[in-house]
Amino acid sequence: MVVGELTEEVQMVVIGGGPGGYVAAIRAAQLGLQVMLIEIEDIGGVCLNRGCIPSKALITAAEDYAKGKNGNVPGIDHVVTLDFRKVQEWKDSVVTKMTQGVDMLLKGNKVRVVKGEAFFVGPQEVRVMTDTEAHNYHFTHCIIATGSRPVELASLPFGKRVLTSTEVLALGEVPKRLAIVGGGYIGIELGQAYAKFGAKVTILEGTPSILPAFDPSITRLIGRSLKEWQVEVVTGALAKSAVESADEVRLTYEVNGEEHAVSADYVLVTIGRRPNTDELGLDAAGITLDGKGLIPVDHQGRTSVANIFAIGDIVAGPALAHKASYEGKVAAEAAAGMHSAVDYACIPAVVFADPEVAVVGLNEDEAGKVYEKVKTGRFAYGANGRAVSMNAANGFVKLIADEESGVLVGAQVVGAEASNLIAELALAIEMNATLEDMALTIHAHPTLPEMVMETAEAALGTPIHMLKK
Amino acid sequence: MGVFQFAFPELGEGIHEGKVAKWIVHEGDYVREDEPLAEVENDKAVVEIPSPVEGKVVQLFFSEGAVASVGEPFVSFETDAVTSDANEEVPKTPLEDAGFATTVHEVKQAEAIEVSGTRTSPAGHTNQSAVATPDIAATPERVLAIPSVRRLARENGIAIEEVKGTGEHGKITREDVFAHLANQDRDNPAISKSENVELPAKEAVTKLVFDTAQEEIVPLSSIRRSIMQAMVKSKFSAPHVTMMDEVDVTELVSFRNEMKQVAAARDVKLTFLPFIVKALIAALKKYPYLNAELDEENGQIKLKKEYHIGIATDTDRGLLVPVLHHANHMSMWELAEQITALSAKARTGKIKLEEMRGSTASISNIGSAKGLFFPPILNYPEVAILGVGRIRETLLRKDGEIVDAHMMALSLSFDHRVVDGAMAQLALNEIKAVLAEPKRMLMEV
Ligand SMILES: Cc1cc2nc3c(=O)[nH]c(=O)nc-3n(C[C@H](O)[C@H](O)[C@H](O)COP(=O)(O)OP(=O)(O)OC[C@H]3O[C@@H](n4cnc5c(N)ncnc54)[C@H](O)[C@@H]3O)c2cc1C
Repeated sequence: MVVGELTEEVQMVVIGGGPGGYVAAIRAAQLGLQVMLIEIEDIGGVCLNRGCIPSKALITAAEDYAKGKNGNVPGIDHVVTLDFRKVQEWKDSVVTKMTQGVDMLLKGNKVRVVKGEAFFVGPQEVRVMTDTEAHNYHFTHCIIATGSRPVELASLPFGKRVLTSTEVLALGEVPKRLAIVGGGYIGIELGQAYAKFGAKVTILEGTPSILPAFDPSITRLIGRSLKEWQVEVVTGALAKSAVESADEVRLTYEVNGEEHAVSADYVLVTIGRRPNTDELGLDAAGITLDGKGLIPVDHQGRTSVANIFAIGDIVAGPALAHKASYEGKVAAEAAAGMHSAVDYACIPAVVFADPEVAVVGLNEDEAGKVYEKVKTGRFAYGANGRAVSMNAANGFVKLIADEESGVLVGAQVVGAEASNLIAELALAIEMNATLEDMALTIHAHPTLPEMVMETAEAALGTPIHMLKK
Repeated sequence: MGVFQFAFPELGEGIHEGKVAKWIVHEGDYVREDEPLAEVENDKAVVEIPSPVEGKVVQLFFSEGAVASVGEPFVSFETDAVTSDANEEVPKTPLEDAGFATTVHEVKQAEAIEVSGTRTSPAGHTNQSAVATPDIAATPERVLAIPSVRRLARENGIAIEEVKGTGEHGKITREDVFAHLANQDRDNPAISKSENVELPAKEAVTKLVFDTAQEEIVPLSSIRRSIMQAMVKSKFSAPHVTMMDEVDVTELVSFRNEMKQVAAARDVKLTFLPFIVKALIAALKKYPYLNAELDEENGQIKLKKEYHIGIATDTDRGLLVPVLHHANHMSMWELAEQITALSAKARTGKIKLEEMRGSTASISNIGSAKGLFFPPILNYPEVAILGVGRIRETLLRKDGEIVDAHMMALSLSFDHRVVDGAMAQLALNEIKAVLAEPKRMLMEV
């Protein structure tokens, strides 16, 4: 130990202030623990500062602009102008409002926030470095929530014009041409938003389909919509290199062995994210990573070292903010001695594309492997009064149930407000609701959720607003 | 590669130890998960203990013929499946490893790229439909139970999969969890309910066989069910402690004998209970924390200003607790009449719900069944319950003389969250003082 080095005693240390870490810190404080939260950058993590929140603000602005320009309802004409800098200022103000809110909540719960980079020096001790000093903390419990960062391709190193989602969210002006490597949800969301602002967007996807984890019936609708926004999608494409020059970047890629190139103002590389677990000194704590760089944990989020927990993007499962928060609560409760466990039936997932995509539980194929027989129902937005009167008749709701019991096991929604519609379906799955339960629940008219009731009836064979084939 | 120590697993409900009959593996052997390690014998059966992990056997902690207890180190392995078992408990979802930019697959790819340094790489794999989609086929059907019931089971240390669901399609209800708990308590009173974060033991391979023909199945009545729930709730929410003591009630016995004729003239059945109610109220008045309710949510204790005394009453259908509302305003005669009336109603099933509600403290009398001392379970959320045992005649040394005496057994249970032992004993002393000297009852009214 260096002379003069002090070690302070803390009951609970949380490393990382994202939706996993700050939620864990608040819950631990609510349960009476004395909590310290260490964050190297900004409270709110990726989600609030450079992920979910800013991207959704830009997507809303792009949608507003596009609706203004192209008109939503016939007969209403607008003269629309775009001051993108102001849009960015507004987006930043949204982020500030949300992160300040989190600051206030942490303060109100008496969570002590410490700025700096944390790493382990032992199974019960972390060191926190700032530019000027280092300080050690000895803890009883620790929750690691350090999140993830964008994966860099060796062939396309990040530079002035080869960017991550963080820089693309913060562009000062709308690029004329934007090339995107990666047709996952971040690529699609940002690509479509910039296309609505007027950029010429090209998306390169390595597999045969964009959003490859989703059913073809879903990706077809998104593909069609991308085409309408003049987004060029190239599938089966291998990005090979990017050459930056003073005012553009030239991206070379291969399809079926043939070489192609596209020039753009910027290239966004969004092929996935890697866990921030490599610089944490986990060896010193006695924690071993799995082959994917993730931290193995048990059903409470406990690592192989019993007083250290890990949550969020650094453990197995989908990298989503709401999953991180759920795990954060469980880990904090477990540390406080409660018998909580990660025990969900489903996690909803949303793509804020146009139209929106939201899925929860099993899809039809997956359900078929678990249950002997599966019953499905499908209902089109076009047959719903509210959808049509919103001028949003594009999309569908699909329910998947175990035929024997009628219990809902999965759902998919594509269309306006899918992100909100999915909540009822997640609750239905957790509550073991059957198709009948959903069909017999009165849904207000005229609303989009009426489609849930109608889809359940369709699955049961008696839809009112749809003719049986 | 880490060393994993496997603790001797539970072989079945209530079985805490077993004799190592035979080792199937030896130190240095390589075993796969689920391969048998040893044959273990207990008084019911011989079972095989399966390996929880794949790896090399480093050490066997027992020799053949030795007896191992649950939790003791049994076998250690060199393995890289350090938390594999624990991991299995994390529910796999279809989203896992799927399109949500999981950190998983892409990273591998990127690492591979960095290592090889080649400049060919697939663009945009935000997912890996071609790769490792979770093994859905192997995912068992999830048992039906809503989140709050799952939590209830966890909090009571029960694996939800083990609960028998009585709801539609085998759905597990709150009541099923309570029923499971009650069964567990009966079969297995000593097992601690605490959740084990160590590797869960694999189930022993050989299932124990019980002779079910010897059992009679009695469905639970609704009263039995609510007794069950109330008891479980009380026992698991309020840590309670019982003080036991005896009091010389010789004077009270003769006083009551005197009063018997007066009572008969009034057509009242005079038992000892009205006196005990009076004595209890005297103590509750002096120690108000015993006539109280803990409001955990708001972090406060409510001291009750009225004294509604519950009288635990044994009926053919099970235990009922009719309440003497405002017992502090009743004369001894009124108490005696009320007790007789309420217990008759309870026994004939004519008692109304409101006559069994609102008690602030209770009395449980086991004396009439010749019981002596016992730790009564609180009538939750009350803080105190007085258990009354039989009065026995005995010889007592008093002021240097041996005298005949009647001794009454008292057991006072209290919620230790609200009241500490010293106060409870002081309250019990007060009850004793009043019962020992019935004249004091005149002063207490
Ligand atoms: C563009 C984009 C859009 C997204 N949209 C959505 C969406 O719509 N919905 C959704 O659910 N998810 C979305 N996500 C994913 C979501 O942001 C993440 O899943 C979520 O932020 C993970 O939370 P976390 O707490 O695990 O980690 P993070 O949010 O990554 O937070 C980790 C924090 O730890 C800090 N940290 C790291 N190392 C250290 C250290 N050594 N010491 C101290 N601090 C450290 C980091 O600075 C960071 O603030 C999006 C992501 C991106 C990039």
